[in-house]
Amino acid sequence: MAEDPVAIEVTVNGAARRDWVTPRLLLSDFLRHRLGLTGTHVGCEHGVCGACTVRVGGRPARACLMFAVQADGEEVQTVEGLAGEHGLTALQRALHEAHGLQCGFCTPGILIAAGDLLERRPNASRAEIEAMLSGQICRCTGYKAIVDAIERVAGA
Amino acid sequence: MKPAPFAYERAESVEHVLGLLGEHGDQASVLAGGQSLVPMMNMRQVRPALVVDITRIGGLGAIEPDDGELRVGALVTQFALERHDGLEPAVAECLPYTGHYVTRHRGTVGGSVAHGEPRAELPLLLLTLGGSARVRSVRGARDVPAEELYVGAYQTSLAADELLVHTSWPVAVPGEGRAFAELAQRHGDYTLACAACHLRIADGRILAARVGVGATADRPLLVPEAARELEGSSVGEAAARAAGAAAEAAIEGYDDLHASAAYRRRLAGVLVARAARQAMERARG
Amino acid sequence: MLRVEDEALLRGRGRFLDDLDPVPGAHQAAILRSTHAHARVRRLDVEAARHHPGVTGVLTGAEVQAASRPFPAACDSPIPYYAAAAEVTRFVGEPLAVVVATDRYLAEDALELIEVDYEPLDPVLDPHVATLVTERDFVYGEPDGAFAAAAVTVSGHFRFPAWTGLPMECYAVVADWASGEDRLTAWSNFQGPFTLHSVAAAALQLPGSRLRLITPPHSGGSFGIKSGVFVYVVLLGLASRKLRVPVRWTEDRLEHLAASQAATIRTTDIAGAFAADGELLGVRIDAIDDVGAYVRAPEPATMFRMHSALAGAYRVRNLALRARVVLTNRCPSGLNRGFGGPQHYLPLEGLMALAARRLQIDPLELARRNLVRELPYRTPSGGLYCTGDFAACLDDAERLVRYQDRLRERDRAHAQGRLVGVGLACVVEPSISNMGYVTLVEDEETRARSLPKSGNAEGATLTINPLGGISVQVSTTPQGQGHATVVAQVVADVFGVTPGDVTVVTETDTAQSAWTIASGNYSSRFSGAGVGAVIGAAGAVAEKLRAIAGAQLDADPAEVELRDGQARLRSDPDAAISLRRLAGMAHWNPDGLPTGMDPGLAATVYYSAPEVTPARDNDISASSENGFVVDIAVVEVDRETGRVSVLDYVSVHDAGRLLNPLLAEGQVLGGFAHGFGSAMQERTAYGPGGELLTATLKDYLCPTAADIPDVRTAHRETPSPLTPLGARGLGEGTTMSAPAALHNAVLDALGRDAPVPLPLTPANVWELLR
Repeated sequence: MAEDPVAIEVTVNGAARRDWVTPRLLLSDFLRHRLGLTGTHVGCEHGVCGACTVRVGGRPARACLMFAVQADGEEVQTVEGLAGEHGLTALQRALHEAHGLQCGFCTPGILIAAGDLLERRPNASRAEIEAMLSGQICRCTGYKAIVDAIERVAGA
Repeated sequence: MKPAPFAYERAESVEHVLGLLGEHGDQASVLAGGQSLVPMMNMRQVRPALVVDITRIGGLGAIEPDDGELRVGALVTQFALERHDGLEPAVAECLPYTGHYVTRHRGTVGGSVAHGEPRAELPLLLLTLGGSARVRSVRGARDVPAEELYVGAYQTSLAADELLVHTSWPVAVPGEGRAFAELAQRHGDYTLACAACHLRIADGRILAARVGVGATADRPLLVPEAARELEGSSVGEAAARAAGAAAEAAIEGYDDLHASAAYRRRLAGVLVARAARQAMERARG
Repeated sequence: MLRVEDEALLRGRGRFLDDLDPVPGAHQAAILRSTHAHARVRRLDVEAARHHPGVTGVLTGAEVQAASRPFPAACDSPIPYYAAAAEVTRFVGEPLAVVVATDRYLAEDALELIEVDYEPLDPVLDPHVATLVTERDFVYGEPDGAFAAAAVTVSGHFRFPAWTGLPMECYAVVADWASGEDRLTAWSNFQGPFTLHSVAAAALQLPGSRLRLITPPHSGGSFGIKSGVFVYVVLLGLASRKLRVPVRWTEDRLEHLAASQAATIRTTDIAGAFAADGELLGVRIDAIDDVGAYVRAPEPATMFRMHSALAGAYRVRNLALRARVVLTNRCPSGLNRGFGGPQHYLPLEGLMALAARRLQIDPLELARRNLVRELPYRTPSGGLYCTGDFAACLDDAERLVRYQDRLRERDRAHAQGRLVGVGLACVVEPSISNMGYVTLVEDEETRARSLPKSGNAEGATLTINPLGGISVQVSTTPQGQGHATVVAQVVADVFGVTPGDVTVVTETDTAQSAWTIASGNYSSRFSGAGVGAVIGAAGAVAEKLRAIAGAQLDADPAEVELRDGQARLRSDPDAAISLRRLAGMAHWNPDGLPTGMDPGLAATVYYSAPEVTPARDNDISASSENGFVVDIAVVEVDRETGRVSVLDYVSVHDAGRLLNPLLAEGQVLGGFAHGFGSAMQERTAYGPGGELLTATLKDYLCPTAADIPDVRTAHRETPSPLTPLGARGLGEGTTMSAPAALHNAVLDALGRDAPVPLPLTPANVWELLR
């Protein structure tokens, strides 16, 4: 039993990535500093702020509360994997139009978390949106524009 | 803020976990959803030599009825339980307070029960409903009633080599009603106090009652003084108030940054009354 | 217009400092921090850490103090402030040593190997017994006479609690010391060279030209807090110098909560002298600012930021202020959204609410009787409220909230035993700070001996390249406010192009950008000072284009207009030359330029806001502009639990011309969120021994989407004659007004005759219901 590096293979935004990681390497650090996917932001490293939210195996997850080794064999989606060649997603457009971002640091986590909610609950109510967002801290907007944007997509 | 080094084992089966726990005991930590463990590891408040990842083992992810109880596998996520069809309303009531949307997707029911956070909602519910936890080790299996589960803050009666494999939640029968009430200073975060009530009524009288409170001590507590006020009383506002007052008188509470012991006592009393009202409502069907 | 900043951020292609490797091979730092609020450091043994695998080296506090000078500040302090502590540590989280390693994980491992032997000393947390740094008394008019003539005197004791802006991105620095030439290049998410570039250079004993500060394209919020990153520029710069490697440090949230920067804690005893009809005759303020363990520049500025608005929106001219600044064993304070405003208006507006109760005059009526009536208005302490109509804003707010209906609902609720309350706050919102206001800390004699300080100058550079593309570089270091969008919009209007044709560079580089001692992002100065410089630069280049076009078209340049990407004659739109061709001519054929014209199509222009002259005696115009905000809050207090719910909230602003209404709304609601948080749930708390109780985001409770109520806003756009486009700042007003309005609403709900302690947490409010 040792802290030796472990080989992992993770499919990130559709592309297979192989690497050696020590068990303690956080998924957030793996994505940012090994794979250069710096859109996943680190705001607290104790699971409260939500900035690092990604999807692992089709479920949203705080990347700061997972070890990279746990993502072995999984599909990971980050903010970089949201928009396709044809431009922004409806949610990205809605956030833009509603002025739902200012500094943009919390935005990737919100896109992933809200995207997950809308996938499961396409007609999510304002109260459901606010409850979901209560785990994603934003210090710039006062939230109203973010809720408006998500609601716009839910109502569409 | 990075975790200390550790060795990692991805368990293949329950037996594999039990073997590792039998060998490494309190040097090992079981990693399920990680929503409580990993923050503590990141802050180096805990530093297991070995992390046993149980998330890939099969057979611990089912929710199934079992002789008047709902058996919830240790790896069932809080989110899956929240979405479970026909879920007991009191449990449904407490889950939105359990962390946040994203953390509930990974946070497990078993993890929450085994972690023993004194302010957590699921342990309080399990205790108040009279549920239990099935634990296994290489030495065998046993059922631990919720009353015997918690011995202190973040401390359970589980031995270092034991793994919680499922929890059992008694299902309400006609005439029974359960409810949960909480006030948190901020949505989804540590509660200031929470309360649960479980009672059975017939002909407008309360035959039996259990009352529990959370975030008033180093573990969730049953409050028999409050239950006694309910038992034998007529269903109604007076009983709810009496239970609340009894709870307030019986609880000690504690001071911290967010509230005084006096406030916690009062709040717990208010929440006991609210939960009792709602439980009576439900018991009447 | 929608924001030009958004696309990259939405795609996860923002470029925050921790995303970038500005210099290859940077090593990673972790910082050993004091676990004691006050202690003598008997021994600090770094040997084991130094020899840990992967460790490059260790820099101790003693080495920091040997290699640097104390940070200067506007007033002398008995305790010198260095980037790290050596013999005595004075707050939890104060740096004691820096470990540099090949990787952050290893650096943190090595931190645990450092042995520190602390001898605990008594911490001081009570401002009334703390070390006094400075004390000044100010008197305007005849306050003694006013109090002698008063029919009613009202007083209150208020404490604005400890809180912090808490940006979602923490501090980050990459420091690269060039050993041969004694030159430090530091990339960091600081919020302006401001005075703090000079402060850092002085500490490093470097001429300013050898300290090059560079910001990345994006910064994850600041709200003032990132002004404090200069301390780490020095600390990591010294680590890089000692260890001869570039050093990277990204602050983690625990470090941030303990040691980044606090808002100033103010304790105020305030008294008001009122006539029987409610006229406010005089105000006495006795204020103590707790700036934490050291005077960190720009402190003690919090005390004086609001100085020219001492009486807020009211015409009272008899004022007395006793201003004291003290040191305690807390994290040092500094810029924080609202800076001095929340601390000033809580007691002032709280006083008005208490007086309304005492005088049995409706609070709106009491305000109306005392508001400044005719603008322009020169305040007793030297400020200028230039244009606007305060009473009309109050009327707007009254209508918007349906004030009379609210009072009836409140009274009905009271009759049912429910606790509903209505609270008002009227706030003068200063913007574009006078660089000279902090000199009020000195008496006139001392001040006369030093360099006069004034103004709020900003620079900008505009360039048109040979193909006609327009680039603008600003030094306003935005942190989410959308400066690039507004600059693109403003410049596009000058040149008759679309905003998409304008490239805006917001990265500031002190070796390249046009900046001044005032440059940066604070005091809502962008829409006035920042835009002023941009318009100046755009105007200079546009004038040149018109001159070239006039010569080409054989017309008076005054006849040339820039529209649709062309220069053309007003009288004959067919006589036109494209911008691209004009730019090509200027670049390719300087010889063909009109006689006497310099080559090149670029201009760097500096702009300083008017009405910000040096302090005279005790008078200062502390800000160039002053907007006006009226907030009305309607709340209900749960009698059983003490929980406060906001039932309605309106906020009416006169921020002059709104340059971009979408961004303006974002600033108002964002400012409200900070004010709401500080009033309702946020606080930095220390235990009796100085131990930090709010060490994680689980205990430091910034509001979430589920906590923030809906806010209804309205604007009255009286253009400012003092700013180039008639705009005033508006990003801080609601941070100033919300705590006062919410406080006053809870006061009303509870029917109290004494202030309610903040934050208005369920437990705090319940204590008053017992």
